[in-house]
Order: sequence, then structure tokens, then C-alpha cells
Amino acid sequence: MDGLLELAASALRLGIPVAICALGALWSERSGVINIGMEGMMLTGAFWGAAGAFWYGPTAGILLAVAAGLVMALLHAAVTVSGRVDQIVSGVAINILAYGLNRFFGYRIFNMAASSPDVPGLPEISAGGVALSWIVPFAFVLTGLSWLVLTRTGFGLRLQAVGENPAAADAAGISVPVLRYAGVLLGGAFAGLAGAYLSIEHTGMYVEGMTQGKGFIALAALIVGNWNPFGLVGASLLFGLFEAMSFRLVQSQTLPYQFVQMAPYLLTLAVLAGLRGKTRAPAATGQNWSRDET
Amino acid sequence: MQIRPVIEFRGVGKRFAGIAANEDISFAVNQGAVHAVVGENGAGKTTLMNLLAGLYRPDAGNILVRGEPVDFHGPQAAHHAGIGMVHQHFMLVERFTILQNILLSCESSYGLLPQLQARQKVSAICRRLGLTLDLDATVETLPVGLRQRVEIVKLLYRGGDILIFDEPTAVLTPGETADLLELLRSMSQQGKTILYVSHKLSEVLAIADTVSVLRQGRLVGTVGAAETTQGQLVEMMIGRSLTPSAERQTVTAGPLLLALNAVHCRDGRRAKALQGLSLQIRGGEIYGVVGVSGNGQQELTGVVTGEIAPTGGAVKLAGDNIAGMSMPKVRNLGVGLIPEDRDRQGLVGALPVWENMLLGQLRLPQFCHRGILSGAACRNYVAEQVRRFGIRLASIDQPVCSLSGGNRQKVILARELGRQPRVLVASQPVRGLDIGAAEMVHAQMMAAREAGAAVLLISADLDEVLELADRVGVLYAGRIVREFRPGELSPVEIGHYMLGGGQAVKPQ
Repeated sequence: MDGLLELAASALRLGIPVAICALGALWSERSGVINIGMEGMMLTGAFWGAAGAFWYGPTAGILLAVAAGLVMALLHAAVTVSGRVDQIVSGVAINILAYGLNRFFGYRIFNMAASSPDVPGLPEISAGGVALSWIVPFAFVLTGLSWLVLTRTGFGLRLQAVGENPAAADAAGISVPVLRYAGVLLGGAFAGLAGAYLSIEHTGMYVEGMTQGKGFIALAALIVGNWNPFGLVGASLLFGLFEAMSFRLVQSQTLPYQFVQMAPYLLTLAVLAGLRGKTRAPAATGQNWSRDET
Repeated sequence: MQIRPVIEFRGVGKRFAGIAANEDISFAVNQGAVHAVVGENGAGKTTLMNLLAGLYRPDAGNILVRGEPVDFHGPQAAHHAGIGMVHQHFMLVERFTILQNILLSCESSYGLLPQLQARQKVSAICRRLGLTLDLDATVETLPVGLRQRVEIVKLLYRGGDILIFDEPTAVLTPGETADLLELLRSMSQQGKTILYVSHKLSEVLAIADTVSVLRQGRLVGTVGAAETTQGQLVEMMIGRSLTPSAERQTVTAGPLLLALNAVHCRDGRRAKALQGLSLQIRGGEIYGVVGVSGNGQQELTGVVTGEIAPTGGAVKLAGDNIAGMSMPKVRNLGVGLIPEDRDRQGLVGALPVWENMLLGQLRLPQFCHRGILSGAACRNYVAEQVRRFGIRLASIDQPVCSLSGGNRQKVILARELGRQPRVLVASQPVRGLDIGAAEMVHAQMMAAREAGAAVLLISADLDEVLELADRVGVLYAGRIVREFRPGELSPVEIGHYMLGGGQAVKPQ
């Protein structure tokens, strides 16, 4: 029984950064902007989260991480929404840029390129013998809020309209660029928070490449969850569960650990393949828009 | 009290990339009137309406609404002035429900959506117009006619009292069209001002109080609908009266150029599409094919142009069997094609005009030496064709998709006729074109006939075929079931054969 509870807690710990990141990707894609750069934004958040926590404590770290995510997102929005550069290309560039910037600032701040010193985390919640970060329940609150704002408010309706049919939104007097900036920036803030969770709360330090593709898994979770907040959180936690189980399999040493570590990613691919044609992206996602070209 | 115009255009002008889409347009629209704006494709109707709806801003002149000059920075500003537009392509979010679409256009609050009040208000509007709409239905599940209703309710919901309709009947069936005109009449009686953009003159005369005619971006004139006729409007639209069809020249029949002999073929679903089709066309002759669509029209085009290999029978071009040859080979032997869907089969939309005009001919020695294109030769030839066919464009380097429908069709005509084909296959050559462009296409087909080509005209428009063709064949179930000369059979008799009334082939 304890083992099961510990497995569930582990799944939560591993799944929650993916879930937060996927929620961010949801805001971006629902507004019509694909954000392949979520991974880089999360990594940037992880770095600046560690730096903020190192200097001023964990709360400051989280705020700094969110700010860093916003800066990276602003870059993506400026390039794609205003500059109308291909969204995939911009996202890839952001991932590469994030990696380089983190190395650069790592040297400047910590005198180490690939990691930070240990940083303090928030006090943990303990319940039934397991300890969790405060960010975990907060993530569930964010999920509910995202759903509420997206489906029940004027802002959410307009943001969705911009991602579905920007020409119609424009004709209805909605500013397509403003809402797309809003979507991308929200995405960056969530990615920054996810990164802060990884460095401050999960690991207690920044390590180069510590996101391990979670930003991409978040995009997969977005598809598996059919661009719905609850669905994508469920998909993220499922991925967390796969990963938690694979750790336990590694410890049992029944299989070469490289294969076991692959398993969550392979399972994600399998689920994606099985869902082919059953989910539906926002109709205009990935398409840059300008009034004169329609 | 004097009737004040609710909208006034004063010397309005708008340019795109140096081309004047609107120039010095002035007219006024009265409160509660149905005011039609007519003109050919590319005459600037939609641009003018987009200016009024706030989608573009004029470069010159003023627009006055209720006597006040306005300068709309966007559609929202036009909404506030009570102006709304039903676009030719509906501006609806397909995955939203009707209610969400209506809320979208007017909900500027950042709080929770006022679903209940909106529902009541929409229901009240529907009641007033006598419409029934299921507000929770997703728009993508609705037929076109209903989507248009949603657009109209949307405008009224946000308080629009000046309503612009851009080609509203282009997508409607005749029944839906009658319903729409009825709805417009009742809205105008309730005091709404309606601007009705169209090139279907019978509708315009049925619904409008006044008509403004545009040609090449300029206003030709504004007339009362009661004081004008279709003929007069056509003359204003195209700047001259239509050439009477009596000008047809007698052409002595040339050699037998195209002969199909008991041709069989299957369609994409492996069903029998052509079942022993035979026909013969001589040089200097237009052979029209009429029939209910789906009786083998596409396959007939296919076997003549080499797109489809027949499973039996012979297709002879001036005596040589071309059945089963590849399309490029058939084209090089002198078969030209005006395809049914000009944008999918006839043009590469993103490529410039000059490349489209030379598609399939770039290897000819006059354009190409040892695999290297001769830029000057290509451009001179294309510029000459553009002049000859009167294609309206800014530059031969602009993407062909930026031209109007009529001009795109002229690019295809210029390409196909530029090779002086022995056989020209024209499938629905004027579908979707306005009067002037259609007349031009027809004139070019007559010119090809006079130059000695054999023309195979396949059209769903019986009047078009009867006007142009020397001989007509009725296509039914993959065979020509009756041949006649225009005038020999009444439309009712032709309809009888089109529905399979005649069984045996009667060679003339």
C-alpha cells in the first residue's frame, strides 16, 4: 500500500512539470501559435529559477523564472506574430538560444557552465507519509482556472476564435495580434513556472539539459489531451506514471536501464499513433495571419 | 423634412500596389433603402464595401455616415457606427456554436460571458425575423443557408442598422435565394438600410430601390431600379452593349480532327463511366455536350486530353489514335484544355503569371536553349499575350492567384490558345465568371473555331451551349444519346433526352 502511494506521489512529481508546460502550450496553440520552444523556455525558467532562489530564496526564484519565460515568449511572439516568421523555425531557434544563454549566464553567475550550486526550496506539504511541493496543488488550481477562462469568459472565447479563424475574429473587431501575444506570453509564463519547479522544487539545483525533452512531451500531452486543459493534465500525469514506473524498473535491474528509460517516450509515441485522427487541433494553429494576405 | 442620406461616399479612392481598386466614387444611400452595388468581378465592389465596413481605410475622399465624416480604424469602429457586413466567405468560427459566434462579435468584457441574457436577446431577434435557430448547434454542422442566417442575426445582435451583403446568393440554391430576398425586404421595412453587392442583375432588379454601377474601380452611375432594365445595367457594367450572337461567321467545315469511336472507360471508383461513346468533330466546328452532371463529362474530358486511358474504343486526333498516350504527348500533338476547375487543374496559384502562361511549354526551343530559359523571350511572349487577351494585372511577376477569376481564366485561355491547338476542350469555361469575362471567353472560343480548330464544349449551361455550338450531343450514362443542331429541339425535348428519354444513338 505504501509502495502504491509512493508510486502515485512520484508520478505526480514527475508529471506536474509536464502538465504545467502543456497548459502553457495550450494557451499558445489555442491562440493559433505553435510553440516548439516550450522546451527552451522551460530550461530558461529552470536556470533563472535557480539563480533567483540562490540569491533571494525560492519565491523570488519562481517569480524570476516566470519573468524569464515571459521574455523568451515575447521573443517568440514578436518573431512569429509581428514578424510572421514560420512558427516552427522560431521555436527551434528559441530552444538553441536558451541552451546557449544558460551556459553563458552559468559562467557569469555561478562560474559553472552546466549546473548551479544547491538552492533552497519551498517548505513541503506532507500528507500520509509523502511530501509534495506546493506547486503541485497550485498546478491543479491553474488547470481549473485555465478551463474557466478559456471556455467561460469573453477573453477565452476571443482567444479561441483567433486560433480557429483569425479572419472571422478580425471581422468581428478582435485584434488578432493582441490575443496571439497574450496566448504566447501566457505559454511562456507557464513554461517558466514549470522550469522553476524542476530546478527549485524537484532537484534543488539547475543542471544543464535537466528538462530532458519534457517541453516536447508537453506538446504530445496537448495532442493526447485534445487541447483540453483536463485532458492534457491527465495525459501529463500518465506520462509521469510511466516515468515513475520506469525508475522502479531501473532499480530492480531486470532490464538494461537504457531500454527502461526509453519506455515512457515510446509509450507516448504509441499513444499518439493510436490517437491519429481522433483529436483535432485549433484550425488556424501554425498559420501566421495578416489582414492583407487573406 | 428632407430625407437625409444615411451613407454618403464622397470621392472615395483606394489603391493596392499601385492599381486603383476604387477611384473617385461618390453616391448616397437613403435610410431604409435597399441599395445595390453592381459591377463585374474586379470592378471594386468588394473593396468599396470593405472601406465602409472598416476593413480598409480610403486613400482619398470621405465616407459620411448619418451626415458625419467617419474614419474607421478597424471593423470595431464600423460596428459602433451600426455598420455590419455579411462577407462572401462567411466570417464564422466553425467549431463554435451559433451562440458563441454571436457573442464573439460583440463581447468586449473580460469577465464571464452573459450567456442567459444573450440567449434571450437572440431569440427575440429571431422571432422578429421569423427565423428558427438552434443556438447550441455547432456552425460546422449547418447548411450554407443557415450559416448566412447566423451572420445576419450576428449583425442585428450588435445593433447594426446598416447591413452590407457581399454576393449573398452566390452560394445559395434558388429556394434559399428566394427566402433571403424575402428576409431582406422585411428587414428594410423595419428600417434597416441594406447595401446589396451582386452581379446577378435579375436579383438586383427584384430587390433594390436604387442601383450604383461600378466599372474598373469607378462609378458609372446611380439609377433607380424602377427606371432601368437589365440591358441598360449590362451596358453600364461593361461599357458597351453585349455583342449580339448573330455575328457568327459561317466557317466551312474542315477535316475531321477529333473522332471518338465506341470509347469505354472507368471512373476513379472503377465504375463504368463511358460506355461506347462516339462523336466526331471537324475543324471549324464547336461541338457542345450537354447532360446532367455525372454522366461522364469528366471522363470525356479525360480521354481526349490523355488524363484517362480508355478501356476500349479509339480516340483519333486527325486520324492518329491517341488513346492511352500521356498528357504531355497529347498536348504536343495539339490538344488544348480549359479545365473545369481552373484553380486546381489549370493554374499554380503561387507562381507568377508568366510562369503559368508558359506551363508545359518551357521546353520549346523559342523559350529555352540547352536547358536554360531565355528570360527575355519568355517575358516578351507573355507580355504580348497579356495585351492580346486584355488581362488586367500590375505585373506579369505577380502570383496568378492575386488576379480576379475572369483574369485567371484569361491566363489559361492565353496559354492554351497561344499554342494554336487543333482540338480545344473547354469544360465549364465560364463557370463563376461575370458577363464581360464570359463574353470574352466565348469570343475567343469562336475565334479558335474560325481559325479552324475543333472545339469540344462541355457545359452545364444549356443556353451557353445552344448559343455557341454548331452541333450538340446529349450525354447520358456515358454515351451520346442524341445529336442535333441548335434550334432543332426545344429545351423541354432536350431535357427529356438528358434524363435518358432517348435510347438509340441517332447519328446526324
